[in-house]
Amino acid sequence: MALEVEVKKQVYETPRTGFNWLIPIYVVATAFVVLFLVVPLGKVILETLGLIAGSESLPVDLLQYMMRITWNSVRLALLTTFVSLAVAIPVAIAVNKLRVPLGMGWTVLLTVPLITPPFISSFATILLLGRTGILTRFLNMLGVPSFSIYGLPGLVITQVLHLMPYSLLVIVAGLQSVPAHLEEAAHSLGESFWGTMGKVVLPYILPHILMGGTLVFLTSLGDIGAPLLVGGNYRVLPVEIYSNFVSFLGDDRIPVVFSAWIILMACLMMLVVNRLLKRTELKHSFRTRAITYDLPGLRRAATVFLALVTILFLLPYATIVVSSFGTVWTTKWLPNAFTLDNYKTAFTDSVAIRNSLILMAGAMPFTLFLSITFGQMNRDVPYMRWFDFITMLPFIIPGVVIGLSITRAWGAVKIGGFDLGGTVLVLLIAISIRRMPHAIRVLSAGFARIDKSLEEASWSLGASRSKTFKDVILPQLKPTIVASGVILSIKLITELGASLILYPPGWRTIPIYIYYYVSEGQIARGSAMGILLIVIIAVGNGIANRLTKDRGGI
Amino acid sequence: MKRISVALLVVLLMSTLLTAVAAAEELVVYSTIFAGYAERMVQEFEARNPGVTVHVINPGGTEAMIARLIAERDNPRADIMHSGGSTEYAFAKSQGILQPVDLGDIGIPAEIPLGSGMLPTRDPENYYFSWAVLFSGIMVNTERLAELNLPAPTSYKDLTNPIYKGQIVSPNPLLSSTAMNNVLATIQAYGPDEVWELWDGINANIGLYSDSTSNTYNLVNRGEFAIGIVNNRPVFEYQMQGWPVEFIFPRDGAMVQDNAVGVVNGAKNPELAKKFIEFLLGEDMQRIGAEYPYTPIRPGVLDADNFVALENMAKQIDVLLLPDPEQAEASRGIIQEKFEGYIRQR
Repeated sequence: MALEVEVKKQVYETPRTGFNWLIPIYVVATAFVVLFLVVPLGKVILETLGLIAGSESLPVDLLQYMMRITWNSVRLALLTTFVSLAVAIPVAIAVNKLRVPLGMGWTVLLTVPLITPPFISSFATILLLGRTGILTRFLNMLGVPSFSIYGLPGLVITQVLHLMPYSLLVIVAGLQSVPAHLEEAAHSLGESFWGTMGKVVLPYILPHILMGGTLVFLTSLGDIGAPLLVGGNYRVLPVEIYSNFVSFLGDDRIPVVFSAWIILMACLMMLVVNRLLKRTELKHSFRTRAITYDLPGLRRAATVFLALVTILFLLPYATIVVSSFGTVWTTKWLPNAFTLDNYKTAFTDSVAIRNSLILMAGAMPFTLFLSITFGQMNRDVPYMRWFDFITMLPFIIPGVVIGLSITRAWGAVKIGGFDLGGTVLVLLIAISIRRMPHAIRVLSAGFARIDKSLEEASWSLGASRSKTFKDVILPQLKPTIVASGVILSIKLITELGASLILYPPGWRTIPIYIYYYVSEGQIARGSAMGILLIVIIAVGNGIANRLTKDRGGI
Repeated sequence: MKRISVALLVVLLMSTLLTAVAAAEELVVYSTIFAGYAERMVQEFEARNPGVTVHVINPGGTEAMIARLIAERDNPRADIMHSGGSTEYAFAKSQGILQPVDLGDIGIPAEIPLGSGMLPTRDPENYYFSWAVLFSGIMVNTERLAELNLPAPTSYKDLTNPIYKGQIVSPNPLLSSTAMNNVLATIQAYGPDEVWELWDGINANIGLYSDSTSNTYNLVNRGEFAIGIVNNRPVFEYQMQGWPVEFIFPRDGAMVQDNAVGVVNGAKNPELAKKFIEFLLGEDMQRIGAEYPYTPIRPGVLDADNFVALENMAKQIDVLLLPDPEQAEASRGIIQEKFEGYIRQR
């Protein structure tokens, strides 16, 4: 008996055919990341370490300070993650399982916050909940005492409003992959709706919940926009790194020491997440088709719940809409006057729109390719697993730091007379590197759910690794690829930090445009462009949804 | 689908290659100046120099602009560094990212009399040139002050009054030269020791140290904070846009600042860059700048009673402070220490 098992293992665990044609692809992808992420960051760190070594030893108070703001960062990220999941899970269940009117329409509405550049969504929170915000005024009228959004509570609110949709998208994708027979079995065994959800559905999609949570957690940890605008005196790691890196008045030690520390923390976190993911591995090889429940009472409650959540999450964007049609908007209920001028100017500056679309379309296929490659490499080549940590770095290293380090390392390099740093190519590379982790994280949930036995079956039938990947793994991955493609396109088109530092003449993008005008106080003009961006992405996603609709409805 | 996207990528790469090649006579200006002025500046220069295209690139703040220039030092992309003050240009010069340019006699003396002293208008070694004058001081939102029933402060000293508790916003002096210059002004006005008693009081009232200078103006415009510690020019701009804000020259001392310009070391187009600086300092652009409203450095461009004119500003100032680079350098350590204390203890 034991012997038989041994033999089986030898036969099935690896494919029989010789060379793994995926390896050259791994090498190319890895080399790309090493060249454009590891080398530039390494260079910056070494240079600054040289500076520090020349001056004095690290004072203890800096380390103490680092610990304090680390706790600030982690506490904020944890709170944001828990609140986001607490909203995203019920919303996903309501949308997917309860046949609510509008169906997936709610998810589409709730992804609006994802589309907005972080800069403008933070400003929207101020318009709404600031000391002179309209909601604050309204609450004051009702007798609710004023509270300050400049601090932890404001940050959590701003980040949840902005980041919850990440976890929602991933969890919805998970719910769609729950095998119908599992739920039917639970149901026929007399489990209630909630019992089925709690005992069957949620455990099944735990990888997705974890991934959604990780995505929110890491994005919150790396977020600069919100802490810069509403963080107030609540200081967090990325802002310290960014501010001190950019300003020549700043403390040169902080970016390096804090970055090294953040890298260490990220590695630890990834270890924990991977451990958790391993424990939750649940593999099923059945074709999936989500089932829904016909529960009128619950459906009505769910609809009301969805409506409330949606209103809450879209309120900041309503303010942006109002602002985009207005002139100056200060301590009053509404802007001083209304106008269409902001849109007129936005359209005359349409080159920013064109640039953003080109950059997104250019960076997207390549980034997706990189992300899928690394996902597969992570399963395929055990001794390269640590590389996963490297690919995650851009999550928490500010975009400005990435952009500047790439310029420093590659800006002066000419390849056969071709001046890399002078073209938009370097910008494409930077935003691809910067946004790759988002796609990788989403994909990893899909990879985690791939059935190993199917893969082994394919191998035992004589298929090579590359053929198995193409014919067995990719098809299973397809829904997750679509989901990560959606998130990726949005993250690419809203990239600001690296773009600001790298954009060559004539390549101003929409987020740069918005940043430019909002920081000049021309909030209305920035808002108009923000709304245009939202419309563009919404239309784009609508088309993408049409194209991929054959994946079975709800 | 995949084939289409690959084809798209190839087309894109080709087009980027082409755009890199098709450079005519171009001038690349890194500037963090306000958009309205930037657009006008480009328009005027292009009109005077047919066949030239000016690109203005704003990397997001003067500090970021310098960081980008340093990163590009080995293969400079820009011809001109524009906007930001002499403090920043002195630093840029020390980093080797500027090159001297000999303008000859352009009708602006190397020093102009101001207050009780002389204001230098250029770097003695011609690495950078001032093109506009501004002042540090206090910004208030009048609507918000009225709503809170508070009087407008008239001096830095007033900001220590507990009635303003939580109503003041300042950029972070550890990061922002706007804030740093305000601190230097108080050091000159109160002396290097007594000044910290003043700042202990102001710090107690400051509701927020913003890491973003521009956001400081936004927050006061919106009325989120009634008072900001800033520079005058942007406040005048916001007034023109219709925001209910006013600038107050502090009675205990308003320090003069400048907006400067210089040629980037290794500029691809040094001749055109020189022309651009001559154009900026020339009478026409100085007068046009006053519309935006930048106070001209060139004497005699505006009538003395013009709202934007330097003479008119100087008239409103009780104690006019000129920058003292030596004292600024000597105070750097203590400023760092004090504000690290104020900000990190929060």
